[in-house]
Amino acid sequence: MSLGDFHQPVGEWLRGDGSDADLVISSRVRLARNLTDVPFTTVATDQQRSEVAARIQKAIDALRPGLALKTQHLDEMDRIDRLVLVERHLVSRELALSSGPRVVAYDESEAYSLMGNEEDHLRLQVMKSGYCLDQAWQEMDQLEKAVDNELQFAFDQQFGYLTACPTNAGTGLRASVMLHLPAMVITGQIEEVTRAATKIHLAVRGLFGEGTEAQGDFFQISNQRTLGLSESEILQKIDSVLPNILRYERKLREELLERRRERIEDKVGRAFGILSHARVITSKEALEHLSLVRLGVSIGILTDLKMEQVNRMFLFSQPGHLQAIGEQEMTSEDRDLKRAGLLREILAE
Amino acid sequence: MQCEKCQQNEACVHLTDIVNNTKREYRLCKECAKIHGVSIQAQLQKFKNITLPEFYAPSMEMKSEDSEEAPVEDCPHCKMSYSLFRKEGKFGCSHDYTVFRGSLVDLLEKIHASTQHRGRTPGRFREQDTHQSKLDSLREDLLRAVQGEQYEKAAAIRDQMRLMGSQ
Repeated sequence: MSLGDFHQPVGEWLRGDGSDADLVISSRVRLARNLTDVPFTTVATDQQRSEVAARIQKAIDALRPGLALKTQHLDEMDRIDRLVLVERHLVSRELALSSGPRVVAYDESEAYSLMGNEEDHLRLQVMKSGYCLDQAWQEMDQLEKAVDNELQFAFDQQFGYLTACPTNAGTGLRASVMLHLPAMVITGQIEEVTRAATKIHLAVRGLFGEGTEAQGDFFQISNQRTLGLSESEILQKIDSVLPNILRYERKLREELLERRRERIEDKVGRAFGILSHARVITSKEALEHLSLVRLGVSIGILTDLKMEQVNRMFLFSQPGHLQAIGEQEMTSEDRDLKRAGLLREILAE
Repeated sequence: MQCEKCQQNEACVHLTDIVNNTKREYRLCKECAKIHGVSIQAQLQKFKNITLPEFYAPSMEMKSEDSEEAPVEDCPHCKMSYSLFRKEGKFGCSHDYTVFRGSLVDLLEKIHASTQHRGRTPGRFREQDTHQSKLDSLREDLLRAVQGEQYEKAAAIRDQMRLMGSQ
């Protein structure tokens, strides 16, 4: 996979613009679909999975010229390139790490992604920068309709779209927003978010979804239930809780600045200093400092840095991207060295 | 509801304590819950790595005792058995939903608090849906016309419904 120039902005969802982009990094909608006449991926033979991939490719070809997607066969890619796709949120970690015929197709802006032979035959994803679930859903609506014209999806009048795991049945829709809530973490209020979200059956997870821990003050909120609610009701559920979370985080930020301005400026300044001058930095340490620097940019403490630069540092400091830039497998120690150098370079832009 | 300990803050933690087979329930505020060693994060952490089959394991045991409710037949298409599905947590093919329908209703109710899909349908069903929704709307018009004693209008609506194939 060509990474291009790490000095150039990448990926629509990392642009750092859009509504509430200082708090909401990205909005994502994902649909799970399966073909009617082939066993699910978990039990399908390689031949059946190749057949699924071929049929998905035909549907992808039919999307042109409106939407041009580039297809990559994951079973033909090396481990580092697959890791890069995971870090860019173009494929799930499960798809990257599994085996057998599997594909991903995505557009140039990396807003659209179609995964073939994931847990379900097809997973469609639209990801945008900032808080814009509605916009993402509108685009998904068009995309899914176009693909539905080409493929026959397994559907039941009672259970809706039939998926490999019963937790996805019904709409097959998982809508999520990736949030940056450092003030809630600093003030110990993050449990309030978890409580408010779980009360209405929303899940709070780490950066890479299921099974991952929240790191560096980044959280993902998504719907748990997919059956019995329409797509718009699922989106409304997130919309019903998110403005309050955002308002609360902003209020806490204001209070922090009012009461503990020097402390916050010091924390942000130190984080910026370490990222600008460190020669060796671990992934965990980088993430912690990047979170504070991100806070500094959004509350106006760091005025020369752009949000897009922070998002890019965040992406390129991850293991897959570091090794892809270095064009080789690296030990953890080598990556820490490379990471520090790359962060310094982006900060010097 | 007020916290049972401090009698001041609003209770937000529902704690069930079982000691020597004696069950006691407390409603506590966050602060008092912390004092009593209950952390919401720690509770969530407990469930973090539990898979779906493990999460539903107690109900599986109950099911296995009640063998009449568990489907005995395997899926003729993918050969998936219901017990294997409950163990793995994944279906083998879309036909499993039909074969295991009776038992799935309980499971889906637990996961989603619903067993009836609402939302979009594949294109091949949409034409059928439109036809049905037109009939439903005409039926409502017919009812309104009869209630308003507009019998000529009601007859016209009835004829239109017959043309669309309604009995």
